[in-house]
Amino acid sequence: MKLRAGMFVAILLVLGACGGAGDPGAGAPATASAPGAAAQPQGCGPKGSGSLTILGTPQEEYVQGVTKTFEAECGIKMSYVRLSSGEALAKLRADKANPQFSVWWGGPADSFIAANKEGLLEPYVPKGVEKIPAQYRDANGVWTGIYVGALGLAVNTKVLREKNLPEPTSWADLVKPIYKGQISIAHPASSGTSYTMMATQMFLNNKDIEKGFAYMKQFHQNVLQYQKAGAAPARQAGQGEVAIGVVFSHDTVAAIEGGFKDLKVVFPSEGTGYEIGGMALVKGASDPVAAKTFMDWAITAKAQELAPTYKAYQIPTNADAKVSDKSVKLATVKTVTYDFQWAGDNKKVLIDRFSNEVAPQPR
Amino acid sequence: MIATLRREPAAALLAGVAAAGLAVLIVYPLGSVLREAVVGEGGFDPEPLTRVLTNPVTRQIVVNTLVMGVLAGTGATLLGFALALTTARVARGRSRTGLHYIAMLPLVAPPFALALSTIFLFGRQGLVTRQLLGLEVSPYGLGGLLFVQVITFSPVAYLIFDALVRQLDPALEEAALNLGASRVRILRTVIVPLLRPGFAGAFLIIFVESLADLANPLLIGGDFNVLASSVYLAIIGEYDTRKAVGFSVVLLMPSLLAFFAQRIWVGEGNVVTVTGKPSTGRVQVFDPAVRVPLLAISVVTAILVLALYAAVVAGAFTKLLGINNTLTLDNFRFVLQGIGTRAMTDTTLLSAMAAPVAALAGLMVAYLVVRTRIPGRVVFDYVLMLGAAAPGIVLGLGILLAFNHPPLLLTGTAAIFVIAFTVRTAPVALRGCTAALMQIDPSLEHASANLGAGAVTTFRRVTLPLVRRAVLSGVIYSFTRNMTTLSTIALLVSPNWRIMTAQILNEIDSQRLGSGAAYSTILIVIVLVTIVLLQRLFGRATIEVAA
Repeated sequence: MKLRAGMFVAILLVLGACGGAGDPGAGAPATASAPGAAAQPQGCGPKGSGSLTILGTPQEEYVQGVTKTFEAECGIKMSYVRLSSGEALAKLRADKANPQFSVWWGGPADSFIAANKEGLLEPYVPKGVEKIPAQYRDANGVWTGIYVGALGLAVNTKVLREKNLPEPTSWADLVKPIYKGQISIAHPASSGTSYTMMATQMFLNNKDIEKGFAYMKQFHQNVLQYQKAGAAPARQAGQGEVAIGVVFSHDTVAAIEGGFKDLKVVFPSEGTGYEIGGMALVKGASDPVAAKTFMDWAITAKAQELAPTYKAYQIPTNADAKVSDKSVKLATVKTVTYDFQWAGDNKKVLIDRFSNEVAPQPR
Repeated sequence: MIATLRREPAAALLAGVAAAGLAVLIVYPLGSVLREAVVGEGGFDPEPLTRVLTNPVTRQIVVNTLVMGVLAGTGATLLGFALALTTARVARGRSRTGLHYIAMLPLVAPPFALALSTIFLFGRQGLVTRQLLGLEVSPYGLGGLLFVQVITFSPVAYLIFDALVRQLDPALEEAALNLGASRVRILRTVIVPLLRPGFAGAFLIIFVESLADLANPLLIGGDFNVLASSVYLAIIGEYDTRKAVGFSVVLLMPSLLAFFAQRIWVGEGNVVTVTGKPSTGRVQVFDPAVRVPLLAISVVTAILVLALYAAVVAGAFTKLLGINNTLTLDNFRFVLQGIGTRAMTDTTLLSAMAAPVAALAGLMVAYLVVRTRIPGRVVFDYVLMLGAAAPGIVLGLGILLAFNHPPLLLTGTAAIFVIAFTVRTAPVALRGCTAALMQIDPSLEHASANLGAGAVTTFRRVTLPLVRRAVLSGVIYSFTRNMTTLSTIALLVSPNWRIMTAQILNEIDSQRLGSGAAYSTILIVIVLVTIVLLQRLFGRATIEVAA
C-alpha cells in the first residue's frame, strides 16, 4: 500500500513537471490567436471554421510538431491522427460518406494516386506551387509533394559483428540465407515505405511482375516478421532485434538521433527506390477553406525547414528551403527510375498478390 | 402482453424501453455483421464465409485461433487452480494476502502491458534472456502469446477457484484423511472432483477471452495470425468489410458456443453467496508432496507477475530498457505533450459516462427477468449477454457497420464509444444484479405494495437500496474495463476522441516501446487509483464482487 501510494506520488510529480514544461509552449498560440482575424499573422490565408483535422502519415513527432507550429502561426485549431499509408487510405475509404479529415499530409505519393483512382481526393493547387519542381507534384493538382526520401537499409553494425555477418550492400545480399530472421520490414498493405520497396523490385526488373515477385518470395524467407508502420523496422534494428531494417533512410537517421548509435544507413548498390511525400485535399472535406490555408502554408520554405526540428530528415521539395546536413544527398545515391503513376495504378493488385502469395508462405 | 400492460404498467413500460434499447444497440449491430456476411449485391451470397473456410491461408487462421484458445484456456485454468489451492491450503498470514493480491494483479493490466514487458524481459534483446542468460529466443509466435495470455487470464480462474475452494467443507478432507488417504490422493479424489464445475467454467470463460484477445496477437503473435487480429487488419488495413465480416462470423461461432455452454453448465452457481453457515472442521494444510510443487508454482508466478509490472514501469522511465538504461522522463514528456493528456481525459470521461449507464442497463434487465412476469423475459437476459459473449472486435465491427451511415450516423461522436462500452460491460452488472435480486425475498416488496406504495416507490425505497452494492460493483467493473479495453473500440477511433489503449497500439506499431510503456504506466495508475478511491468510499466487499 505504501509502495503504491509512493508510486502514485511519483507519477503525479512527473505529470506536474511535464505539464509545467509544456504550458509555456501551449500558452503561446492562444495569446497569438486571441486578437482574431484582424491580427492574422503574415502568410496565413483565411481561417474558415477556425479548426482543422488532418490525417498525417510521417512519423508522429513530425506530424505533431507541424500541426502545433501551424496552429501557433495561423491560429487555426489543429487536430490530427497519424496512420500509415495503407491505413490512411482505408480510413478515407471508410469515411467516404462522412469524411472526418480535410487534408491528408505525407506518405508516398503512390497511395495518393491510388486514393484518387477511388475518387477520395479533390484537386487543389496550393498557392506558391511554382516553388515546387514539376516532377514533385501532380500535373492536375491532385497531390503536391512536400518532401522526398530515399529507401535505405538500417544496418545494426554491432549485431552484424556479434553474429559474424558481412554488411549487406545490395538488394541481392538481402535474400542470402545467412540473413534469415535478421531482416525487418513493414507489410506493404499497411505501409507506404514497404510498398515503395516492393515497387522498387518491380522497377529493377523492368516492371516484370513475375520476376519482382520471385525476388519478394526469396526475400520473405529472411524476414522475421512484418511490422505495421513503415519506420518501425529502423527502431527494431536499433534495438538489436534484427540486424537489418528496410526503411526510408531519413527514418534511420531519426533513429540514430534518438539514441540507436549502432545503426548506419546503407543504400543498395543496384539502385534504391524513393518517395515523394504527397499532400492532398480530401473530397468532401468539412473545412476546405482552412484546409487550403494549411496546404498553402505546408509548401512554403519556412514550413518545410521545420522538419529537422522534429527529427524528420526528408529532403524538402520547395526549391528555396534549406536542406539539413543530415538529409541524404539524392545526387550521390543511385536510384531506380520510379514510375509513381504505375506504382499507384498497380498498388491494389500488387498488394493483394503479396498478401495471398508471399506473406503466408512458410519459412 | 396487453394483460401484462393492465396488470403491471410500469413493468410493461420498462420492457418496452429495454426491448428498444437491446434491438438498436445489440441486435442491430450484430445483425449487420451477419447480414453483410450472407447478403451480397445480388441477394443471398455467403461468399465471405466460404472464402474463410475454403482458402488454406484463412483456414490456418481458424485453426490457429482454436489452438490458442484451447491451450490458453487449459494453461490459465491450471495456473489459477494452483494459485487458489496455495492461498487456501498452503500459504498463511501475510504471504497468503500478498499472493492473493498478486494473483489478481493482472486484472488491472491494460492490453499490451504484459506483452510489452515480456518483450523487455524475454525478447530477442531481453534483459533476462539475452543480457542475463545470453540466450537468443524470440517471443514472437504462439509460445510468447500463450505465455502472456496464461498470465493475463489466470486471475479469472483464480477467482473462480478461490471462491470454490473456500466453500469446500474441510470435514470431507478430514474424513478422507481419517480413512487413511494420502494428501495427493485426497487432492485427486476429493478436491478436484468437487471443483469440476470450476474447471469447466474457468476453461470456457478463458477460451472465450483468449479468442477475443486482440492486443496480444497484434503485439507478440508474430506470424501466428488469429481471427481477431485478421478482422482488425481487414478493416484498418484495407477497409474490406466483406473480408472482415467473414472472419467475424467464423470467430463468433465458437465464442458464443463456449460462452453459453458455460452459462448453461455452470449457471448462476459461479456467483458466491454468503450463507452465514459456520465453517466446520480445521482447514487442512497439505504435506510436502503437494505443498512444495504448489509453492514453487506460486512463487515463480508471483515473481514473474511482479517482474513484468516492474518492467513496464522501468521501461517507461528509461531511454530504452535493455539497450540504454539511462533514466529519463522523455517518454512521459512525449506522451503528455502530445496526444497523451487528451487521451487521458477523453478516455476517463467516456469510461465514466458509460459506467453508470451500463450498471443501470444491467439492473433494468435483471429486474425485468427476476421480478416481473413479462412473457419471454428471459430473452432480454440472453440478448444482453451477447454483449459479453461476442468478441470485442466483432461487437466493434457491428457498431461500426450499424452506425457509420444514416439514419444513425454516429461515427466520430462520443455516443458511439458510450454505446460500445455500455454494451460490452452491462452483462456483468446484469449477472451481479440478478444474483442480488434473487437473494432478496419478494415478500419485502409485497409488504411495501400492501402498505400502499406504488411500483416505482417500492423499487426506489426497497429494491434499489438492497441491490445498491451490486449496482456499484457494476459501475466499478464497467469503468475499469472501459479504460483498459482495446478490442471493442479499436475500429471506432476518430480524431475527435482519443482512447488511451488505441494510442498505446499506435506507439507500439512504431516500435516506440518506451512511450507505450509510459502510456501503460499512466493507465495502470489511473485504474489502481480509481479502485483504491472507490474502495475507501464504498468498502472492500464492493470491489471483491467487481473483480
